[in-house]
Amino acid sequence: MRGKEQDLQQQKIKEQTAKAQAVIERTAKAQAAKEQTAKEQDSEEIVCLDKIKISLKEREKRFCAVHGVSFSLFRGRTLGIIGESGCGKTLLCHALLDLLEKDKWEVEGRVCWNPGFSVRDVGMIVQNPASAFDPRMKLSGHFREMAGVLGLSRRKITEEALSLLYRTGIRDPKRVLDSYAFALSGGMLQRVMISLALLGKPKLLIADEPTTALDITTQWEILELLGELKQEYGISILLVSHDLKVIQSMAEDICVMYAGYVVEQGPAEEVLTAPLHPYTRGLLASRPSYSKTQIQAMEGCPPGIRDWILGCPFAPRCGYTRETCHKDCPPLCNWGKENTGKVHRVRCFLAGKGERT
Amino acid sequence: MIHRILEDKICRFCLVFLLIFTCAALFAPWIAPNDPNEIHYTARFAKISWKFPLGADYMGRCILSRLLYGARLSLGSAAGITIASSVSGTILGMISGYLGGRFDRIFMGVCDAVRAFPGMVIVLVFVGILGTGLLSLCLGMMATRWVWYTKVARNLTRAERKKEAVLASVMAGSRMAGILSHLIFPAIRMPILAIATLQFGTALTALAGYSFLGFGAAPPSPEWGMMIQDGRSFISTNPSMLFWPGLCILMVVIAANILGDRIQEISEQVRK
Amino acid sequence: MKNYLQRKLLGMLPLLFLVSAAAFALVRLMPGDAATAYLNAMNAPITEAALHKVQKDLGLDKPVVVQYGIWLKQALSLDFGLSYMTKRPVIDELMLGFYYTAVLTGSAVVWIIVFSLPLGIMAGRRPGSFMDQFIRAMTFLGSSIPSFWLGFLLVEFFSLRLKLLPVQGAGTLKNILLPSITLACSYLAMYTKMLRGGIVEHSGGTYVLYARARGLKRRTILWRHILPNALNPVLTSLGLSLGSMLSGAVIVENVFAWPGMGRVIVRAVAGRDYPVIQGYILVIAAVYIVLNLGVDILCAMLNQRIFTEEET
Repeated sequence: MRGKEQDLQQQKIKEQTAKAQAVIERTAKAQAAKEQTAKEQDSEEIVCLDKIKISLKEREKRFCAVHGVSFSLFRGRTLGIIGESGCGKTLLCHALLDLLEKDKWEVEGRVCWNPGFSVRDVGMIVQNPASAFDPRMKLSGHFREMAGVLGLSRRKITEEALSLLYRTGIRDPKRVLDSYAFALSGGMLQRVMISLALLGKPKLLIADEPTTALDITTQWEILELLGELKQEYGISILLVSHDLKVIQSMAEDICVMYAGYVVEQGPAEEVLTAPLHPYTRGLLASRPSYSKTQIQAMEGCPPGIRDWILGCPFAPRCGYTRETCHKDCPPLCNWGKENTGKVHRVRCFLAGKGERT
Repeated sequence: MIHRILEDKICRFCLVFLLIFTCAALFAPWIAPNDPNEIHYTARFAKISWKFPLGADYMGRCILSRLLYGARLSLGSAAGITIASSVSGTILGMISGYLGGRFDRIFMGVCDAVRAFPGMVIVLVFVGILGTGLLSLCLGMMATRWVWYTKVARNLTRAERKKEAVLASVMAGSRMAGILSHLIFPAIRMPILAIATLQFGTALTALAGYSFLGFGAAPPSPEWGMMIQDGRSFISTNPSMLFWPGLCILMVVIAANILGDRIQEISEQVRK
Repeated sequence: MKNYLQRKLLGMLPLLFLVSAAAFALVRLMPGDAATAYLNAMNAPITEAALHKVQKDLGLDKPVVVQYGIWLKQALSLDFGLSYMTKRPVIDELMLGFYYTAVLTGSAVVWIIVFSLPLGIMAGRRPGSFMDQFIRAMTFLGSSIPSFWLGFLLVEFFSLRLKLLPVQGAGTLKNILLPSITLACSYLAMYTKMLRGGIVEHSGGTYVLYARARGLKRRTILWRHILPNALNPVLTSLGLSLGSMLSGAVIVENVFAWPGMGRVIVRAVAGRDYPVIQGYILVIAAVYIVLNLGVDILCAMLNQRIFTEEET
């Protein structure tokens, strides 16, 4: 009898180890496959903005709002643009989608879409969900009018809408579809907006301050949702915010803007751990945390669109200026290690040299 | 506030324009080349000449002189109507907005009742009772127009009343008249002024219209609306008879409208 | 919705009573004796016997309240007596006039919609452009012109010089052209301005930008989103203007000899035809009140949002 029990036990152990091994192999394969696809997707560029300059037209005068901004968006990666209000981030998003009125704004530079991608592959969600919907139409109407744009039948659109709404966390999608925008909360409307954006199966999602109008718990829910959707659908995200923690939690590449200029640009790990520009440093230093007893805020405010800027735009607020800073505007230069693939750029004469004046 | 209006170029232009008309009306007895009611049988339908700068009408009366004297009647009545209705309407509206409560509700109900009548009906009632004539026409028009000002003044007063300066003044024991005149009125006078200016234009047109229909001044009177009525029979042969008075009305109304619009824009800018 | 309707209907009743009282009081406030006035109008000799007879006939010997009651009863059955001047039932005259006035006002409304819609859109699409300023200037001019003067100018130009359209009268389509355009002119400016303002305001709204970001075409957005929102206040305002248009029509009718209510009342006032004046006041005020009620209901239906928010 003893022998049989021992045999059974041993068999069990063998089966379990075999199962475990199989699981390990499977996960290892999946991981390898993911890395493979990540690498493949990694290098796939969706769109490249080349020296975009946006100016406000006022009869003959031109007021420059965005000065020569360049960046690229890659598949599966999130680019976060951070900057104070009025630094031109929203203008950039609109320029990308060609939404700026020709009578009011002059756009120079190029937006180069790689083959296979176009403006149609972009979805957008805006800052204030409450004002993003036509007050006279039910939400179902908003979905249905996309039928013409996407070339699908109304029934198909409704099915898609219901499933997307459910996926974004709305538990009674039918009721939501049947209501007006003013009847729903900000968080719900934001989810509806995300569903609406996903309707066209976009490859790029522009999220312009998606969490600014929401309370803090809803903010995290939405960010989590965006992260999940990014994994599931393989979407790239262009995340624009003035809130550092939002950018920190999601972005893989960061672009710091100030007064219409890009002042620092690079992979998130580098920018957040070793910031080169005094403005970035100031932003990071002003984050509240448990270990700090005092929050170091930056004094002053950015120049407006009509203010004449001589020299570096950040010079009036910078604690590290030299004479050259007030005379010439520093160019955007590459910083160090070019062979890692992801380039870190900074616009400062004194990058890396951190002596305060 | 007033200086902002005076600084604006467009407003200045309109004010000067209106001032010219006012002076023409005031100094008519000295400026007019002829007596407005004097009939010259030989000069019927005279062309533009030194004696008749704008020609003569079907009875040989000088059109320019009639226009000048008519300005006194038309502009004067319109101004009188506007001032009377704006002053009374604003005061009543301020009191109602300030007191609030039952008085306000009842008073607003009365205003709604008055507004429920088309203006023409009330004017007809007045004219019907008091007989046709410029005075009864003016009284009738005043009776309808005060409501416009009341509603606006009341709404604005209610908004102003919540401000701290007013609350402080009430607690310090100021009387209602003082608060209304020193605190509330300066804040609301710009929009009221805008409305009054625009209403001046409409009053002038309406007045001329009623006179044209025969409810206003009696025949020999050179009121502009009457002149148009006189000229209507001769429209094919001598359009100048009704052209000039209509043109005068048009010019004054345009100036009043532009001025009123500008004042409204300025008052909105100041609010922001 | 039901509560709203009920409240509004109830509010109408006291107003109607007030109006009828005013109309009734009109004659009683006339200087001079009503009986004498009646005999004067009938061109009958004023003798004691005649006065007595008239007083009994008109019921002037009864207390005022009773007189009011009788008059009101008659009015409710639409019997306003006979016109002094034409000796025909007042109600017939008024109804005939009302028909013509309604036709005139209706055509004026058509003109307003036909013109202000494209003008408002053209001006609102590109605010500040030459087209916008031109349209604003033109409509401004149109609103400042006194309607009777404009009417005459049009008659002078189109009827007498060009001989295209008839000068006066009613009956054919040509007849109604000039009067309705004249009436519409003054209101055109207001509505074009309102529509333009609404279009500009809504074009700047976030939802328009967002709709474009989603790929909707400009034209679709204009017609399906911006216009319905911008038209909302315009339609309610139009309804309210209908009432004042009925009064404004009086002048236009006199210029073009259009046989509407305006002509009826002007003749009545000039000739002191009291039954007609009374009937006119009552009918016009009642129409006005009912019209305002209709507009309120329409406004409420269009703005369902106000409803659901009121109820919650």
